[in-house]
Amino acid sequence: MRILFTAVSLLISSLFLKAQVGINCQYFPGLQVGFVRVKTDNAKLGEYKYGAGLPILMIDRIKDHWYLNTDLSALYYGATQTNKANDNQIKISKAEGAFFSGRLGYLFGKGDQFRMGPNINVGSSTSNLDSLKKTFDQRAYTNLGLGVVAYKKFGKLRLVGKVGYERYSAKSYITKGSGTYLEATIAYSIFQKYGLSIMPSFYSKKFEYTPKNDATVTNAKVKSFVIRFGLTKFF
Amino acid sequence: MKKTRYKITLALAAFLATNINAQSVTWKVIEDDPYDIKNFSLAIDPLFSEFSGMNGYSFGWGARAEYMMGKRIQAGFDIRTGFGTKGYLISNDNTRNYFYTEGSLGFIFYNKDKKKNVPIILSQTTSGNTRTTVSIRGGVPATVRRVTSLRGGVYQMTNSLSYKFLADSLTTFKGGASDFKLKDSASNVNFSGQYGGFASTAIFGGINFRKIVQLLIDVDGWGYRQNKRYTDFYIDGIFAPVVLIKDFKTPDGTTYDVKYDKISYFGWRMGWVWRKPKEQGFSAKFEFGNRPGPKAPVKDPKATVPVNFNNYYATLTFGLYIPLKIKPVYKGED
Repeated sequence: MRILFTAVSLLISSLFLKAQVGINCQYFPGLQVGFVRVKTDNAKLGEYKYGAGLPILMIDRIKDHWYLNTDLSALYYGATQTNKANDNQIKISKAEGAFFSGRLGYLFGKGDQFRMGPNINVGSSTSNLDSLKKTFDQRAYTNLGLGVVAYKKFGKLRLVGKVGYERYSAKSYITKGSGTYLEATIAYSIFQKYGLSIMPSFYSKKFEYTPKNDATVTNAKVKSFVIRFGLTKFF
Repeated sequence: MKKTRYKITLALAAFLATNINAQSVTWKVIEDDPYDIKNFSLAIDPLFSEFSGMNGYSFGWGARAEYMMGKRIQAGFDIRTGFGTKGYLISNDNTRNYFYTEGSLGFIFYNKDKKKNVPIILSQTTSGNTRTTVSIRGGVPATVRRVTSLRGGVYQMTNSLSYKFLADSLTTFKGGASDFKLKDSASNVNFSGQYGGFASTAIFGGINFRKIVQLLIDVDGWGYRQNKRYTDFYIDGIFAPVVLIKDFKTPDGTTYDVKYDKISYFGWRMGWVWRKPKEQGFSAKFEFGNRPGPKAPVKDPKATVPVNFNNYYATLTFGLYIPLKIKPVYKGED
């Protein structure tokens, strides 16, 4: 009886002592710095560049074998600009990225040192392809994609790398659209289970579309480089 | 006869099969300690929204902190600033953006636990318009900790104020060539559709009821199930010695001192706060009440002063919180 009790106790303990792998990067809200460059072949729009919208709203999480990303950054940035937009004080809308977008992936691997696997991406995003001033005047497009995510632990430091390809579509104005992304996360544990993460990210998008106030079919390349900062929980 | 008996048996079996309520569930308690908590939490709220009679709505971001120091002291802090305030224009100095900050301190006079049954949900499924919930009937005995405190504090706020919510007979614009009311003798509304600014500093005091449950069980055949909560419910009375309506400046540079003859210096509020006792996650706070502000006009002189519904408000804040264990921590009676 005593052996059985010990065995059950050990089993329950082992379930709780199971290696917890991963990090929960909570840019909720987070900050980002960087730039976005939009280069079009439309003479009216030309080429324009602007600083990245500062506040973001995103959760990027790896726990055990699962990768989950929820991103509302462009939507949130738009909301934070409401007072300025109501007073026509915005020179150009900096809403770039996800209105509401997500990624789901499965990471293969054993132990808590390294894991890697594929992920799928789906959501509604936006890019300022019309050089608009008001964030909520921007049009949305659907993004669908595939990616690979890898996770590595180095003592108090955790690194994550993400690479992927996405197709963009919106029947009303986009005829062709695709893009790639490269993201890295460096997270460092500071106090108890919490720390900070830095996410340098590069996005490259190509669109063939019809601008809002011009019927000319236009090609645009949107390139952005941002560095994000947020709080992180370590599992 | 045999056929009838067969039908009755079948019907009875079908009835029993669809109405079995007997439940045999065994479980093992893994965790049941409402004192093993993180007694400090810092919440960063990316979004709050407030609906009020003064200006309609405001939304923005904020931060909250809450600290239970040892057995007897409780402290709180809350700050919010709007990034979408109805009626507020950055370029119009007559208006004010939404801003709210408060600090409070409480004395805990009850900090004990009792065994009480709490609900445990085993499974929940939704199909169409039907949700099926399987739970342990009668609940599971858990240690429920209750912390009750008397608290008091100070808040300071600004907001935009719609003039259409002010009473004509009580609003006077002093300055310029002559003083005048909100409506002139021909019933034309002066500064129609305009927004002004409102500021208030108040003290509040009330009672806070906190409930902490931290039950984790291993149910045979179901796995781990939990009932964990760290919730607050509070009721406060508010007294505001400072209730101000901002001066109004016209485009020609004339400044009017906006006077409102009857101010209600008292108000009240109640609210709820939710988080988990130990784990990091999302926290929410909902509050509604009636803040000190302009009184409603008395239409019938014999009637008592009615409640000004424009002073009512409801706020919902939501964000991620970081819980920490910071000394001193009360671990209960030995």
